[in-house]
Amino acid sequence: MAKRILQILFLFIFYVASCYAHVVGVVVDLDGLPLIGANVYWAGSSVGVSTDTAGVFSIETVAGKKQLVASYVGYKSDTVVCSSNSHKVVFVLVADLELGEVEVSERRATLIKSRTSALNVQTLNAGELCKAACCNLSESFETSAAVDVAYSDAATGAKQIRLLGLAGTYVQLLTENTPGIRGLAQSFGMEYVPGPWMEAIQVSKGTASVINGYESTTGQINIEYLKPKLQDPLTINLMLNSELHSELNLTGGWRVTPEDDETDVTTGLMVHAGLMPMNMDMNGDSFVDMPSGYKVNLLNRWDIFKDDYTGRILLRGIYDRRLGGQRTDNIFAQTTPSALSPAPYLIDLDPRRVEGFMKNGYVIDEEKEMSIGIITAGSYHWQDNSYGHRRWKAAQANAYLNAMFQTSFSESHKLTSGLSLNHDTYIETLEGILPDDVVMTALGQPIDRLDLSRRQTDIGVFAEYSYKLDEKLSLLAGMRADLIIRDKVRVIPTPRFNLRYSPWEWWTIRASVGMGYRSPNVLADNAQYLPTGRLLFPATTTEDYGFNRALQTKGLMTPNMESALNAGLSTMFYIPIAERELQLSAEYYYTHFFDCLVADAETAGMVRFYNLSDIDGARAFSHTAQIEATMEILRGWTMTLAYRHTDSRQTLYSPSQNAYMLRQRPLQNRFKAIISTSYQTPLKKWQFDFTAQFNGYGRMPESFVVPTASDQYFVRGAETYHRWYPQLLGQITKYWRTCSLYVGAENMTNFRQASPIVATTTPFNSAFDASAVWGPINGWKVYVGFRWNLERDDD
Amino acid sequence: MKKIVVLLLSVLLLLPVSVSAAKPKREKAVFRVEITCQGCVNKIEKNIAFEKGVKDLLIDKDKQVVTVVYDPSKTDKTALKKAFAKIRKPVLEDLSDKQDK
Repeated sequence: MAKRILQILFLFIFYVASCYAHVVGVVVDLDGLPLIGANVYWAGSSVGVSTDTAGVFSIETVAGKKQLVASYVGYKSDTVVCSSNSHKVVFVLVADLELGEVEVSERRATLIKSRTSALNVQTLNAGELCKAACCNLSESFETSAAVDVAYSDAATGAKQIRLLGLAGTYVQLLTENTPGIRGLAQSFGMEYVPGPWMEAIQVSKGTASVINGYESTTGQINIEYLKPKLQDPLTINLMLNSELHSELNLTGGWRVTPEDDETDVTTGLMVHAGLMPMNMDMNGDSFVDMPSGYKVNLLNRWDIFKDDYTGRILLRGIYDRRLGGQRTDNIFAQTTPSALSPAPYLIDLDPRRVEGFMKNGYVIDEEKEMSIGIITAGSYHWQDNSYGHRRWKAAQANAYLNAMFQTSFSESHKLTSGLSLNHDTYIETLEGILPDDVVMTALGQPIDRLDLSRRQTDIGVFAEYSYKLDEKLSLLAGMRADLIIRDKVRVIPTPRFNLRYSPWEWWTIRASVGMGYRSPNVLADNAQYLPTGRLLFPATTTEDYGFNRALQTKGLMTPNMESALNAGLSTMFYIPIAERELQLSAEYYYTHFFDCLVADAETAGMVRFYNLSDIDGARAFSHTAQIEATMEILRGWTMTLAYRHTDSRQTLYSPSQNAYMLRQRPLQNRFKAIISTSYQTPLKKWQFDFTAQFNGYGRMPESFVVPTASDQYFVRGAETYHRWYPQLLGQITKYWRTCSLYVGAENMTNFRQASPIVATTTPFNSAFDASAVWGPINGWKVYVGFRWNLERDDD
Repeated sequence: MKKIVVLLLSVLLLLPVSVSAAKPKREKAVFRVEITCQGCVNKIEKNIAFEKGVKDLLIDKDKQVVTVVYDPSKTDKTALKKAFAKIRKPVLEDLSDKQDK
């Protein structure tokens, strides 16, 4: 013992003499015996060391950190405050008798609802994304009750999402907190984000932060791609389904600079190739159910870390080609399609896109959390799409800049402010709008060719204040003002407010209210009406208002900006049951439109476009209420039950009443229920996932003619509704050390919407319509996939 | 005939073995391992779970403790420690005996 003390003393002297920038000491127990391998670290920092075989440690001093902590398994941690001249510290740790057994970390929840954020954020991480085929972003919400994903039409395979009873256009889609999928990319953009590329998806409901612009009305969906720093050097994913749709994903991340270099540069490369070789017409309506085609998607990113600087550069390119309509040929054999009378209706889409961003972050003062961030982004999207006689040629160029400054005054007050700039140029034409059977009226010549080219520049300033009191209260108050330069110049204010209060650990309540705006894109937002024979811009008649009239008289293609208020209330309970936790949540959101662009398809053979504000007493709103319960019932077995009710209404024209009236938004499910269950074996070698969706009934547009002998519809009052329908999907995954194999099935009940395309025999007439889609077009599907990864060498 | 007797005898002899196999012996090893992030947890889960004889794995990230339940006829603590070392997550301390208290 005496020898040991001598040894310690000697070490003290040695350390003190050699280096004053170190704090040295010893960790012992009550008996004076050294504790080997105890952790010693500065509270609130990442600097820490372990004690050696004599229980001695030496730790570098860290500016601003005074509290030195020693911890050891089975002992109570101890904290000592070090003044500038105290170099010798002795920790005497007391055994923690209560620690009888090791608490275990249970299976990590894959769907995490934030407890501490003021925003109602739900994070879907890679675990959740692996539960289903999740070929791309649009398929990632199959286990979510809040987000609906549905085909927007029955001919192009485009999918759209709905959140809070409103179209996905009112959700701001962000790529690593940078506005990404906007404008022309809206119709297919969700499919351009391959599932295996994503690290996590954050869904934030209700009004969001003002930092990213004025656009989010009902919420934000943020995609985080894989980060090269955490990525494996090579991951291969292969997927094949029963329709012979195959996908290949290659991802990899590597460190560029040597391991010991101060500058940390990493790069990531992601490749995606998708092939849909088959033209399948399962329902025999002469139209292919899903277009054949191929997709190539490339991404390269560079992450740079040096001292207080963080930089991220991302570049991405996409090429997508789809062939649909009445064809017997496919992407490989483009023969002259079989002669139908008078000619086949063909769909040929070829969107291309390049985009990139550069983010620079610099920490000025770590203690004050003072930092500046500059984000620049740009994209160019172009497409030459044809739908029968209709040809939609469009290009969009976007440039974006966001510069912000962040500082905290104390631990609980934080301020972020900055300015942003956004510019969009659209060059867009639509030709061949008129269906063959159009009847000329005395009221004027309907429009056959449109030029929708336009520009918009926004200059904005913003400030966001956040306040945090312990873990109990957090508040986020933001305000931005944007100068909008388009057909006319105006300033729009965007106030937003979020509050979270958690009086006890088991109960959290959140409230939010805020404004959101949007510049509508007449065609991109309503692309489902392109594969129809509907007259898109009917001649001005007495009941035609606003947008159509402006179009006729001035040739003006800039509808009013949409503006809406969103308010929400949500609560979460964390109820302990038998050492586990039941999460119960209830939420309610209300969206009220002051103005919006209405695409009214209630009248047969046409779509009317008008601004809500042009019609006296017109209203548009949406109420959504949702309850959800999640629990890990047994180790590895989790279960989620959720139910959502939606009441989304809008003033639309009724041809039978010859008047505008408040009606349910067409094709919006009135309710949705989800039962989702997942089981993972203790060693995580097997995983079983199963989800049952019950998609509620919804109103059909008045122009819709119920197919004869179909039991999928019912009439209530003056309106026709489609019935509710189930969707069952499941997957089994087997994991090995470096690879996994998964087999799954979708739409197990083989439910299909009967005759999703109306008037298929006369596709060039105004009655032809592929837009009235509410259910699955294809039947059951099975898929098999394989993942393999080369593990990272470092730790 | 002799063959049959040998066969029957071996069946009788093997029976208790198969019975004991139905209720296999399990041992618990509790190791302190440096765990700084979720990445470490994933790494341990992905590798140790596939080591021979490992029957269950519990990781406590906060306490930096990994509990391995294993079949002593197939592996032992030394082999397990080697497996941890191989993934550069060396066992800093064996707490197995402390846990039994």
